[in-house]
Amino acid sequence: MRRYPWMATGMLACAVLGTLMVVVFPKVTQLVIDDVRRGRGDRLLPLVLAAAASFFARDLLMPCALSSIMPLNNG
Amino acid sequence: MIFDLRSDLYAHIQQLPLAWFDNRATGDIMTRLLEDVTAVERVLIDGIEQGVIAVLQIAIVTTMLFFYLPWLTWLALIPVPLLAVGALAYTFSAPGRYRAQRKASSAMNALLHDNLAGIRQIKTYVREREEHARFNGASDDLRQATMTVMRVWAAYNPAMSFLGACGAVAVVGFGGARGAGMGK
Repeated sequence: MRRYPWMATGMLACAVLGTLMVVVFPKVTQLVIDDVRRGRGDRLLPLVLAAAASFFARDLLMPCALSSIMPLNNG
Repeated sequence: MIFDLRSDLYAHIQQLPLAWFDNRATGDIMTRLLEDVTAVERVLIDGIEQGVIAVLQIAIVTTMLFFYLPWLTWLALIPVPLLAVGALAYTFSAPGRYRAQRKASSAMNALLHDNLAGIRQIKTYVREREEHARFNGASDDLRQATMTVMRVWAAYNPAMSFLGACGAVAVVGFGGARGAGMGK
């Protein structure tokens, strides 16, 4: 950690951001049930895209958290 | 169970002829006894537990979903063929990568064991620098093999996770549209 502070910071940031993405889908589900089913059909597409984007970001950030520690092995 | 496995393996190794030991480094055999038995332990404990839970989850949840809303269940299952193809591709290509990693780990352990056992000779003949270079070479082989495993896993695991999530997004999207009376 001391020798590679930026990699450690990047790893932690990616891990935290990736973990935070898990709150998006439950919120989207709630909004679909509360709003879309009550006549706000126009909000469905943005919500679905937001959910897909959050999953994509989560699955992109998690390996980034992993790959940021990979160079530690390069010495 | 692991105790018995390790004990049986050790007993078997003791029964092997001396010629068998001539062709193998001590560290290599130690790796087999220590790391490989631990790997088997992980398969037996984690693998069986997770496998049983996964199979039960798939069976129960799929049955319930089909019972409640078959058309939405089919939508949720759209990513399954892609997941199966990905899993098969990974499973069939993984043994080579993991074998290379185990081989490199074994080689490094063998070198480490031999050098520690012969540290007096190394110091007597002032071979520290050369042995350090040899160790770094073995360690670098292990690093490269491990990196290959990690890179493939870092691509495979999130890709499979995203494909699975696409099914959930499809359920919310199409289910929401139907719930809102769209597309009727």
